[in-house]
Amino acid sequence: MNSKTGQLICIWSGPVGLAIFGIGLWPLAHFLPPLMPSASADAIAAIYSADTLGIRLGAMLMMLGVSMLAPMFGAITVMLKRIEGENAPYAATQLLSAAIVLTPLMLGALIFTVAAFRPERAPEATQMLNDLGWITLVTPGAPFFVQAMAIGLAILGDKGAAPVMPRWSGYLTLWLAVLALPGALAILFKTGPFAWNGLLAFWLPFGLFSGWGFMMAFLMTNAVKRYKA
Amino acid sequence: MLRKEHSSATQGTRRDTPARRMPAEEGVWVFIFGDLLVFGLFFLTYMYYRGENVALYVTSQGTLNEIFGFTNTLLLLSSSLLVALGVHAARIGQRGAAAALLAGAFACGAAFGVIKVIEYGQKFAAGITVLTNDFFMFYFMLTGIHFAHLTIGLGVLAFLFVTVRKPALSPGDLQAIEGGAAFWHLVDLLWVVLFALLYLMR
Repeated sequence: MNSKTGQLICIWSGPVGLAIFGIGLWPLAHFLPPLMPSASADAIAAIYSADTLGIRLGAMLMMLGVSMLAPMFGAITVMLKRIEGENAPYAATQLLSAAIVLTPLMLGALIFTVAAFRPERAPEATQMLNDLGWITLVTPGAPFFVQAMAIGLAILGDKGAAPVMPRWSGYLTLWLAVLALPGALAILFKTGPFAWNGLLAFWLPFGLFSGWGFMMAFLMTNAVKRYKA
Repeated sequence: MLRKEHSSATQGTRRDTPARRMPAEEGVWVFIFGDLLVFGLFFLTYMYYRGENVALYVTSQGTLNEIFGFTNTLLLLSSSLLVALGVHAARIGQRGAAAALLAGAFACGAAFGVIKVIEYGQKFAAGITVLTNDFFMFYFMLTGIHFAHLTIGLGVLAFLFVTVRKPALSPGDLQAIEGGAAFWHLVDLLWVVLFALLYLMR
């Protein structure tokens, strides 16, 4: 197996992971749209009671999906190293911040399983775990901001004769980096577009991140195919 | 706000073909249009929520400091003019003038920032925060995100100032200057719409 095959496997693990995460989130856990931050403790407890199996299985799939993003981030690291050469601070930054991105996604899903584990708990307890899960999942935008900045700046700093990635993808990634930040505002609101179920704190960042993942997979596949070692 | 001078770049640069070329590197426009799209989404969201509760929005809007808003608008418009003049000066080789113009633009932007901080301070002193009501949620969120863009824009202007003072400007340098200028115009454009939506629209 040459390194091209290895890279392609790692790259495409990402989109597969995104799809698995989506299947866990929606058909299984019924968490699209996200549960309402303004819902009462009793309403939340009722949801976890009625759907306890779906939520547990869905959360497990979410964790699997998140884990499968790691190889793609690894492939991105390799690509950045290719761009930067021997001294590759952006590649190192990307690798580290990718780990910090994946961690709260895993933890958020894990917390959902705990919430669904004993639906007969006091409703306030279930609501607290539900809050913890969603806030963990949605609000950490800063790690992806750093990761995307590193990727974007590395792509734009490509001084090679034949750039590894098209320059517009660098600018696009920088734009996406900035859009990761509003997710943090979900800690301030229980309704409206900036709540964890809102257009601007959830749908936009998560939707764009998924689109970006697929786009990067295609672009990196081209880069791998074009690479003459 | 995307001024014509940017597209009639051909007079100043000898390296380009006589045909028109797009100012700045293509990728910068990806970023700019992406930002416009997202802010457009913000504005539509604001309009939607406002439509559900016009009375609240109009009352809250009444407490905004229109003088600050208007002054800020004038400051940004002026800074955009200075930036456009600075780009033109850079193109025709007048790097000293370009540097001075960019510095002027930076000063206008910085003044905007100072006024914004004072304005926020006034609101906080009156007990108004982002959590006060829906209108103020949008007010602080939208102007805050814009403020972040302005701060980045100030950094970009500083970078342009340094660039333009190099002994000779390569075509790549000119492209970078155009790109940075385009981003600043975006910041200005966004503010004009914000001002109209938040301060003016009844």
